[in-house]
Amino acid sequence: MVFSVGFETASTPVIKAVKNLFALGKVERGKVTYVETREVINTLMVIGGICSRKLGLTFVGRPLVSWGTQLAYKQIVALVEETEWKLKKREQKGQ
Amino acid sequence: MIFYYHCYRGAHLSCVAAALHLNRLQPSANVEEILSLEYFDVLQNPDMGVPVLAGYCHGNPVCFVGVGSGSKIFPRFADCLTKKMQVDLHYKSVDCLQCINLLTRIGGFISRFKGFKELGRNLAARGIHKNLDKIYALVLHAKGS
Repeated sequence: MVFSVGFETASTPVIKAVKNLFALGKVERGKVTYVETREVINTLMVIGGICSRKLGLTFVGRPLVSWGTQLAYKQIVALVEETEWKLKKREQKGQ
Repeated sequence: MIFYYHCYRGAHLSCVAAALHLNRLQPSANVEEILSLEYFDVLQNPDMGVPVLAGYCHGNPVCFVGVGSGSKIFPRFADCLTKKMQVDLHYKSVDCLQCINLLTRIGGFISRFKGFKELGRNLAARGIHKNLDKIYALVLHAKGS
């Protein structure tokens, strides 16, 4: 299963808190891999996001975010490939 | 059932709530008693997300944790994840940030800086003392549900 979720600026403490909650409850079923995508965000995406979400100027924000996403596309692909590679390696180790 | 009290840094509100839950602090406690709590104003920003096991209440672990600005996001995410993964996890997350007041906010901010720690701690404790009834009501609600 693949999910996408928004954490605003609180991704680090929230993910850590959830991981610890699962550990405390001795949850073994289903391992979750958390991938931080904030590292590939560029200035265009930030400005576009603020215009669109905070200021409600979707006609300015959306094209800017789309443009920023196009520029960051290769980095996003690389991040996904890296995650897939890590998962494969983990599976091989587990077998 | 795991009781998970959370606030911004996990240093003041949630720490006091956990102490109230475990009867280590009475709802009639004074400022000095709040200040003498073991974990009061101890957790710092790098500790966010790391829960502290305050103790056990009828065999149920009682923890407090700082989740930064994610106090609304954390319970929503944890609930969704347990549902989607069909995980059998019984927990109660309690957002203590709803009991914050101006004094606690200012005290909590000031206590992070060297030289102002004592002043910040005192202000935060006074703010919490003012809202202790509210925090206790929150704890009772969590215990009851």
